[in-house]
Amino acid sequence: MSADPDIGVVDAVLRGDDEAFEQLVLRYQKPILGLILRMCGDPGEAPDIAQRVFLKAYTKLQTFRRRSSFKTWLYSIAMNLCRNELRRRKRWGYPQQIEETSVGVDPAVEDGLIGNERRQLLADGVELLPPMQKAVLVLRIYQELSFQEIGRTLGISENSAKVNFHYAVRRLREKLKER
Amino acid sequence: MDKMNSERLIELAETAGEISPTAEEQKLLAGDAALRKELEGLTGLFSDLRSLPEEKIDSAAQAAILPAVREGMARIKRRSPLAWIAAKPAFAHLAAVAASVLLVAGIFFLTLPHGSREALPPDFDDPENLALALGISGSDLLHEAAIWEDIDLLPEFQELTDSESASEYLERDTRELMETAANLDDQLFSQLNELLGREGR
Repeated sequence: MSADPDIGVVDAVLRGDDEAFEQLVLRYQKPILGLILRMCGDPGEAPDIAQRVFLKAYTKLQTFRRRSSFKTWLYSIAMNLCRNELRRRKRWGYPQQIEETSVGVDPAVEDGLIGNERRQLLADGVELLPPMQKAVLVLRIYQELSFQEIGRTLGISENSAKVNFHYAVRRLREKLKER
Repeated sequence: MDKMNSERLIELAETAGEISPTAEEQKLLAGDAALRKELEGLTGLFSDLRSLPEEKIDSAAQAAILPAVREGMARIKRRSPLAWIAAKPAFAHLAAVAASVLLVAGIFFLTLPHGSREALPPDFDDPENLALALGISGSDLLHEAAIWEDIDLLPEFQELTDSESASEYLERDTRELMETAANLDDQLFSQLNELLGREGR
């Protein structure tokens, strides 16, 4: 594993330097928000969940044992909180996230690269994936984590991460063929 | 597909050129139109997936994260200084040692002769007694620290918290069972009374 670029800052926080932790927040708030949005949707809730991710990391930092990078560790906290949030919504009968993640018009992608119908089908397909497959897909495609990092983030083996990814892709292709 | 399975095709398509097909695979692709089509389809799928826009976050909401975290950090320290301190491994060990010393001192104190005075029941409003109680919470905190020692345990911890709600149901069920048992007891008791009454007569 290559050297973790965050380890110096993590050490500073552990020595009691709270301002160093703010560096970590600034460094990771965007990818963490992106991850939360892809996993849970709901832009209204995402900043609140992100804030909880950082606070959990702050209080549990001394439990970070450096077997993985700080980034992977932080992502694992984010994935756990997302999972809790999705469970909470399910428990309280929130509407399916699919209604909230309808694909908006993004001029950057509107230049014929991908049709609206296909995009909507894909977006719906991602939402309807089983949770583990969705998590693996999001971490791989949008966070560009290696399968080893994905395994560490989700507490599964590297091979299991690959298998889940494979099934997710297969499902998405089937979804597109339904068209 | 004999020599290129779908897993390999996905790998080639997904890494978008970072991984190139081997010479043998290239030869295979060149001679197999269906395989080429499959690879193109997969490459298109990944490209489309990457181009799916993500929900936009209000920049003000994003900018509010750091102040909120800062405030949360201060709140954590203010509200539970003991938990914060105990969460630090060095302090946790220190707390455990202090708790043990307090416990031993407490036992020693209790074994000393105190004349004929009757021992008073412990008053937990008294800071000294609270300090003794701290011995227990110190070890609990140490236990907590051990649970959280490795983030790999997070999923297990999650399951544990999930099972808390299950245990609530169990508790409820147990209560209901106990109530039923109590009712049965009452019935049994009255039946016995009735029987004994008859016998007495």
